[in-house]
Amino acid sequence: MNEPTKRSVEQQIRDGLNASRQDGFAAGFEERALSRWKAERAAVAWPTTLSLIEYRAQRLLPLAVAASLILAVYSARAGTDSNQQSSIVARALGWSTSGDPSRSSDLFESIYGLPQSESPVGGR
Amino acid sequence: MDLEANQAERALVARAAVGDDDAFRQLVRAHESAVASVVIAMLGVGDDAEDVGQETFVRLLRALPTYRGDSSVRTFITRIAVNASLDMIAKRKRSARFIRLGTSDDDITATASDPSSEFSSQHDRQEEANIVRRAVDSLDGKHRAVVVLRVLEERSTKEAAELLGVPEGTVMSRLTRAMKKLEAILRPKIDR
Repeated sequence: MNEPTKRSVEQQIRDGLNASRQDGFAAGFEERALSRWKAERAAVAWPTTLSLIEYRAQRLLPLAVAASLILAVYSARAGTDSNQQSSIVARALGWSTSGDPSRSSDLFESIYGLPQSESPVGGR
Repeated sequence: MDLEANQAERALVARAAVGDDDAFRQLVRAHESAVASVVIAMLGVGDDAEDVGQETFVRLLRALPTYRGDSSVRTFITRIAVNASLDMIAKRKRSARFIRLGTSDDDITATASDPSSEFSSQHDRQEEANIVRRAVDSLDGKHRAVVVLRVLEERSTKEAAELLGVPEGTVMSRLTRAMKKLEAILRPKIDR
């Protein structure tokens, strides 16, 4: 008894939907849709330079993050493993310092024209 | 559809996407009936359906870079039409919830669920169609989509599942639930 009722409901729904079925939009749909597409293309104007930059940035971001992490970990390990004072970046770029504190006197001299022992602050 | 015809259709879509107006018109002529059938069944006749119909074609052209050609353009555009209709139903629901203007889906539910005011013997076929329409409108989007695809479009469960991007079991359970609800609304008519 239940099955015929179910079929009848389904048939009723099919008939009802078919009765209001339309296989097309109002006349002129083609042109209205075309206008909308044209307006959209004009507004978006893709691919824009900005979206290109964004796309590139999105691709490079994971690489940059990974490189930073590797460098940070390597720097931390290098810092604990040795007493070298120059950073990993400095060493990688060949800016390694000798770790000799006397070298900083050159800097003092060049800035203040004084030897390091004569501190410019409170030297009066 | 054979491979060659599908490739020709893809080429047509590609031409339309880069601004070939004639290609766009051809595309609309070829698929307007399929899009209109689904969209109007989902939303009813009116401005929303027209809006979603246009949006469907625009989305098709925008989605071209992601279209891998593993389904026909007809299937692809039907999927877009269903999704755009679901978006519109969600939008209507939001408007109804926050603005409470016009007829919301909830109002339709209330009307369609009231058997006392419906189904008299003098109602003609169009009236009956309107009642079915309102009953279908009372379903939420995902259940409505299943009814439209399975009952009106007579798609198989597998096809409906592909179009909706859900497992076949989900299509079946949604259909069962939807039919139960529709039966509860429409049974008074059958029992007469």
